[in-house]
Amino acid sequence: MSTSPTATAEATAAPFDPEGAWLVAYANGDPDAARVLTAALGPRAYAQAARMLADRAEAEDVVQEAMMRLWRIAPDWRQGEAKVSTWLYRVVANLCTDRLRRRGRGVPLDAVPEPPDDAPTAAAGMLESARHRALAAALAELPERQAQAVTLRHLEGLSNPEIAAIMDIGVEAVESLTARGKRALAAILAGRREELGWTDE
Amino acid sequence: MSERDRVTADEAALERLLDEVAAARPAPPDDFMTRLLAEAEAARPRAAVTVGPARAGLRGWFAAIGGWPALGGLVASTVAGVWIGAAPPSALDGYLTGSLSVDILPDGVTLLEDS
Repeated sequence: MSTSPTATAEATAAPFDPEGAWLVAYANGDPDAARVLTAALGPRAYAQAARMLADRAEAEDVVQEAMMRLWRIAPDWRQGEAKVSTWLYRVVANLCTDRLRRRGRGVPLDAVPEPPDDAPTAAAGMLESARHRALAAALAELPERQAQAVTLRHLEGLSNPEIAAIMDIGVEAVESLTARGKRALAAILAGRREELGWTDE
Repeated sequence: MSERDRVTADEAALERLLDEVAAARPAPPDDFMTRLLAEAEAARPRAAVTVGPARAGLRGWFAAIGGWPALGGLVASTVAGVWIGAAPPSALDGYLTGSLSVDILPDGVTLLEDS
């Protein structure tokens, strides 16, 4: 009995990326593509940036910049090489760590601004709360690659192979960055145990 | 609490904090999404925004001859030609049978000199 050629082809073919196909359509001027891609990618990128930065206004700036970069590279997009979502996670993560670094390493948590008066919606949970801002401030003190690995793993819930593709490194390197990043974060935040409500139980 | 226990507690607390932030579902404001889409539209390449080639060909031809009025004239002259061929008016008798020669130059004018 021989192997079905169809089955073999399916097993070896690169996974189809519908967003990549839409991006090619966008480059060809398809008016639907802008709408479909913005609706699919915008909210995801916004959530990633808002979780990393603990700041909605800054998250908007990051998403605008990331999406503009996506539209600019659309004519050169080659399907089958990378997924659009992978590319966007990388760009948003890089833009966020750039902003965290610009906020300044070692900013004392006392300097972290209070959340705005309007209470966050239930769906947004603890977004922009003092604890969230404390996490963002601690992320700013981490080496960028560690901050990216930790947030992609623990805030975005991505798998190590997905993070490896986004960061263009091996899975072992992801595991190492994540472990070191978490140890460093815990140490930074330990100094603010009481403010964070981390009581010794 | 030993140092090791404290580190373990800190790491557990960090895990909880990360989980809390991960559970947040920050949705972009509607006006922001509207702006984002407008920017996507503005950046969209325009070169290929045309109808398909087959339809463009037919439409292009139709527009090139001048649309419906021109098509009416084209049909009328075609029908007239067919009619004249099938039932020639009597005024054309001399033209459609035998041959005619017509002088188009005044007497005494020649275009080529006899050598």
